Amino acid sequence: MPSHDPDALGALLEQAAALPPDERAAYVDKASNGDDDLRETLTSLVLAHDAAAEYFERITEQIIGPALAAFAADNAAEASHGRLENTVRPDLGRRLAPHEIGPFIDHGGATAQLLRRRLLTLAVVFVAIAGLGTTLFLWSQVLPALRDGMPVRPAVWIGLTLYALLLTGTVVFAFVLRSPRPLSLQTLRTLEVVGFSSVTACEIWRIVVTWRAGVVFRYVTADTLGMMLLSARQCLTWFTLIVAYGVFIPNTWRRCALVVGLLAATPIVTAAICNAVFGGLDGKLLSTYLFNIAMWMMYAGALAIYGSHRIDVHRNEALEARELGQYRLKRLLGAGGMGEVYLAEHLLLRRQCAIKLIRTDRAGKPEDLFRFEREVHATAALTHPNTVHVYDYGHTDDGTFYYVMEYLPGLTLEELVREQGPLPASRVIYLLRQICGALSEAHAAGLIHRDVKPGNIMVCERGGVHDVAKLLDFGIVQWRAIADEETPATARVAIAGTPSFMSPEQITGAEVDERSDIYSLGSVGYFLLTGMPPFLRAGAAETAAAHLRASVIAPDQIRSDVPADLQSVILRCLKKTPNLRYHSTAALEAALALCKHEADGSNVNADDSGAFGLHG
Amino acid sequence: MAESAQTTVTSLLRQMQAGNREALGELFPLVYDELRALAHRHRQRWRADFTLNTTALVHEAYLKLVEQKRSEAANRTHFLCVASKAMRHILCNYARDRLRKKRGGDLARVSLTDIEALPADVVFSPEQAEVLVALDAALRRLETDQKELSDIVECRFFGSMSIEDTAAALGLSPATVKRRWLLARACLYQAMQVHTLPKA
Repeated sequence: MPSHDPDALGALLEQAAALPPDERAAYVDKASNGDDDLRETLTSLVLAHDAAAEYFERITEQIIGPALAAFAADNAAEASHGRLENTVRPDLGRRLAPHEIGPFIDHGGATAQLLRRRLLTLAVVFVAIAGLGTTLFLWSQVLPALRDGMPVRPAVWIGLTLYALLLTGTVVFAFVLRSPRPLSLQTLRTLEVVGFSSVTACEIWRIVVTWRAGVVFRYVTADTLGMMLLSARQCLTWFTLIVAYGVFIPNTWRRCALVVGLLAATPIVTAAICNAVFGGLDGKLLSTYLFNIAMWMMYAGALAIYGSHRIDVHRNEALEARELGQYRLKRLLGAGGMGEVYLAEHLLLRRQCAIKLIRTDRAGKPEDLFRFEREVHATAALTHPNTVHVYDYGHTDDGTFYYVMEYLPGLTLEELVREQGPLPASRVIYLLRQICGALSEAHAAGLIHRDVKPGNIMVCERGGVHDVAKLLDFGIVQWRAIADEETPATARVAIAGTPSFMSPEQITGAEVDERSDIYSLGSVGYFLLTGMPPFLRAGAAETAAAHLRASVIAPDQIRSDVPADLQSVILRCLKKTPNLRYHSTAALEAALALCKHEADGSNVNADDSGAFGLHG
Repeated sequence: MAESAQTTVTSLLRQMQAGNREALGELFPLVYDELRALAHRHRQRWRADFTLNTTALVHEAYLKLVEQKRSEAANRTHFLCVASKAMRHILCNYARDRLRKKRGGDLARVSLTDIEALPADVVFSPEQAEVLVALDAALRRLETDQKELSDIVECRFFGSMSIEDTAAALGLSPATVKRRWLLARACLYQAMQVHTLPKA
């Protein structure tokens, strides 16, 4: 680029671009005032301007936006609260592969968690047994020898050092497994191999030392019976190791067979090599000895592989049946901020319901469970017809909480507006009044929703009545915030999502009461009337800032047919200061009832639009 | 510990506001690392358990890095500006890695940091990668010639910042930002014309 002053050049470009295309050339000629260089630069810039604007808009939309989203793992786009049957979700039709389904069902996640727990158990057991063994050995063999001034063989010292190292390693291993940091299945598999290899290595070393020192023959007679006893004694550790592996480590039988085969072959091969190098047994005794070891290893291997296989089959059955308590999961309905929602059926009642899975990283902590239960109890106590009914809840061992609610075939307000555009005033009033009722009951019970937004309100047909609004996700938000308290910032963002419908006091983190829900409900009303949230900004931060400071564009500036009375109700909800809003949802409801257009009734409109209550 | 990191970032932001360009140099790696760490952590979680868009990511980094008690609105725009810069580098590095892999670069030696830089689950299409790399190259040229323009582009493109926020962050008037933005866009377009976009 030439060295023109960017601001001067920018100003010229700006003015030229503001002109109609056919006047631009003349303007450039005049502006460059005989400076050919400037004229050339400016001409090319003006020519580029329009195309550039369009080009970068498209780049932002198609390249930078998605790239940013991919980096931030933003799955918001596909993960709306889509409880909708006929929403086009290309992956709904096919059977979900295990890794695509939630953690409870997700084989990968479940396996990793299980493996982690099992490895930890094994490590603890190993430390306990091997630690005890080593201590006993020290106490009964080494210390008396030292006291009596007897020489201790270097091999004993090396052995003790090895075991000390192995024990220390296992303790470190156990602490890594216990730490909260996430470990992928792959990492855990590596840890598994490292752990078992270390123990194997120490055992190999023991065989070698024993053999070299000729200890083999010290305790037994050199005959068949002696060999049987010796092999049984030598195989004890290996037997335990192999069976423990098979039973404890979640595996497919193939992988188990591979590892177990290696483990089983090790003592046989080691003994054979040792005999070849150090000598000790003649052909017949050696074959008896090896045969006996092989027998033991075969038993162990068979037991391990069969056990592992049976366990694996059971686990798969349990995981694939996708049952949660009394419910069978049938289909993924949608995935949202806090978890996935499945269509499910009660096994006995055959009633259809929706199950929401909420995963926390901390598996089954009693205090989490307590809080979750308290919130579900509070929500379950709500009986307003416009609040979604919670039937049941529970949790699994791997930390997945779930709650069961009525299944609502229909659209969320977000989807409704996206498909049909803004709604007529009378229908807006009708829907808002219903939600007011739902909120009134909750507020009276001391519950603040905190996440009233179009995506959390469903419109459906219930028992022949159309346009029934249902408020979703009660209280869970608050619970979620508490469950994540170790990282408060995360929790706040997790709740915030897009702050389009958040009240100013929520954004600043101030005390929140029912007037915050009123603000959010006002925003929902604004959205229904105009098709956009009150503050449409490029990003969450700007939107949040706008909620705090910017003044709302009156709905009638966006759509001319907005009745003045409804507009003033909504604008009052959207006051920045809670005191200036309605003081209760009951007051808001009354104000809505006074709006003239209410009289039109909305069932007619609802039927005309016919957009909800559809089953896919 | 976290306190002191927060204090550092807050005071660096303040220095930046006061016009100290070196503060940016110190701030950049902090923000860069934090953004990557956060994004990485979020990706590690259960696929559908979170809804975190880029702005929320930046917001989260902000909450984590900036001392909230002493935070001012101006801090936030400056932080956004640094984060935009960081996002540009992160994305363009990914994109370059992507292209390297696509061109049979798999066989080439890849250092550990490179592997870490491109998580398997961040999937860029070759088109995305190519446009990003081209944009980065054009931005670099712009950076050497007219630094004041590239700053604006970073804020607008990679931070999704409004004209007003960009102006506040860079200490300029909105009108200036708008003018420079028009100019920068036209310049970049000329530089990038070879890279055609996929059909709309």
